[in-house]
Amino acid sequence: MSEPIVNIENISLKYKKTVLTNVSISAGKGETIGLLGLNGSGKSTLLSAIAGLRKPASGVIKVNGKAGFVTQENALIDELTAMDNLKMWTPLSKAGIMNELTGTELSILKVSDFIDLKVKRMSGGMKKRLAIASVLLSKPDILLMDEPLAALDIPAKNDIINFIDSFRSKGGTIIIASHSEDVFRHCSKIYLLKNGACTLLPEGVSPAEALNA
Amino acid sequence: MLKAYCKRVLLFLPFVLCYFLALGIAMLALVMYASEFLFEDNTDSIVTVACYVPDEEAYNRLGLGLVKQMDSVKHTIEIDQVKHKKDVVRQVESGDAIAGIIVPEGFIETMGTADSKQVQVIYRDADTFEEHIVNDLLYAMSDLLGTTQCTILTAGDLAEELGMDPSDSYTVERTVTNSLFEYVMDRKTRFRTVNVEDLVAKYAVRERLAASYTLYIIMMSIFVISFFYKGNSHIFRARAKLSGIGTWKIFLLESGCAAFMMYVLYILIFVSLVFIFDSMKVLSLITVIPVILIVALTGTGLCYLVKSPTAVSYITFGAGTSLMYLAGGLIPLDYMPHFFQTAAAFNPLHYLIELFMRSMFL
Repeated sequence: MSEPIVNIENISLKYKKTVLTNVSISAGKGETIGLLGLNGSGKSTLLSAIAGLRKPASGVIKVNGKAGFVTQENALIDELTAMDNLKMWTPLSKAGIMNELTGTELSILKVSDFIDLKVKRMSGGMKKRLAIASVLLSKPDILLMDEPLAALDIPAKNDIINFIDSFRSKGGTIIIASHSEDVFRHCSKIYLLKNGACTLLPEGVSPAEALNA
Repeated sequence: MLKAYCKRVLLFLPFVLCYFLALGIAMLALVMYASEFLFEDNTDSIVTVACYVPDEEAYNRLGLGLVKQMDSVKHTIEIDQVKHKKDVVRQVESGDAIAGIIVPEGFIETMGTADSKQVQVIYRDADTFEEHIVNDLLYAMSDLLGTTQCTILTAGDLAEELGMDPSDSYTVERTVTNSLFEYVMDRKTRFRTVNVEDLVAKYAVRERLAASYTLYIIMMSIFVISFFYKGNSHIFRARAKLSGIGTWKIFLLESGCAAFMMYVLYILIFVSLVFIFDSMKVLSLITVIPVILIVALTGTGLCYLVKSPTAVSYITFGAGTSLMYLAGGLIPLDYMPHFFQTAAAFNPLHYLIELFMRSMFL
């Protein structure tokens, strides 16, 4: 196995009421890792720590590459169009952005269809696609996604899952925190976060069974 | 990011301006009629008082000039400065003046000595001095001349004293051009030094209200502008951090945008006030900038701390209005109980209003 892109060793994290202890996770190139857990189990906290937004109380987090973080809430500005929002975070020109949106795996997200629409007029699915595209324009090696399918309709879910597969097939590493079984079907490893501990889900155990156990 | 924020400001600005249009009009109307609300309910009309000040005593004339500028006087009393003591008697007796004041020669020089001279107050024989309107003028003059010493005479008494000859009366209007009252104070060190502008500012009620209402509108604009801020969202900040943009950069950018919106709001208010006040200073378009920057930075900081626009509205409307009231920004301190006047000295907004008024008008 090649050297892991993300290597977490025995970290402890505390945020509000959430406490995680001795968490160890590793993700190699082209892997999709799922984080499973109930609300408040620490999934988002763990993703924030991997992204470098939160420091662990102890332990080591090694990330060999550039991380992109698609947060649960979208960091978009409502009054601006999709194009203006994208331009905020990238030095690319308008034409360059359009090339990225139509000529790469980002075309799966179909953001170019509503590029001139203001965010406040967009549906939840459109906003999520735009948020992902916004992060992907910076060409991250590792994509961290927090509940990417929450409150989306079926076509939007399908598009995002297709995108995840495409990103992974091109060598990208993805770590996804989710409740959705649809996502976990596309994961090579699933970690269960429960009672402050993080354990690898054994093969043959479904996410629902693990959560209810 | 800068371009995106500029675009947001352009999109947001009409919303900010429209929101404060109604508030601005209401406050403008209040300022326009402030003098009527504050003074003229207590008086029937402006009355004339004849006043004699010795020609050679410039500091007395300066004092009189200052009294004339005071709001408490200029809205109730018209001071007719006369050349001779006899003119005072004539005007009072004929009814052209409701009362007269004679400042004696050497008044200032002898003040506080055993030979101190007294200001003479002349009123018509038929009037009762205790309820006389000229009391207001005496209070104002006492403040300025540092004395309350006066002799009260009827016009008949004084005419007899002067051996009146009615043929040589004429009236002279004088303008005091000196800007400092220090001349008097240098000669009489027992008085504290007072700057003319301080005295004028104290009594410039309409100007003070116009300035404090303008400041109030600018402060309240934070409530509307709080919807503009994104840096108060931890998600947005996280996104920026991952893109290599520090929180402080967003803070400064958003403060700058807020300050720009407030400045445009101020220009609108300034243009409106120019039609009402002759004394508006164009220079205030520059001097207002530090005040706006203070408000914008404080407001942005507030939005970063409390995060929710609703909470920002509670703080700006609740705390902002209370502080503004206690600072004498909504109702002049002179019309409030003594406790409030003392407490205002500890209110930073009191000084901000003072600075703001001076930059706008004085």
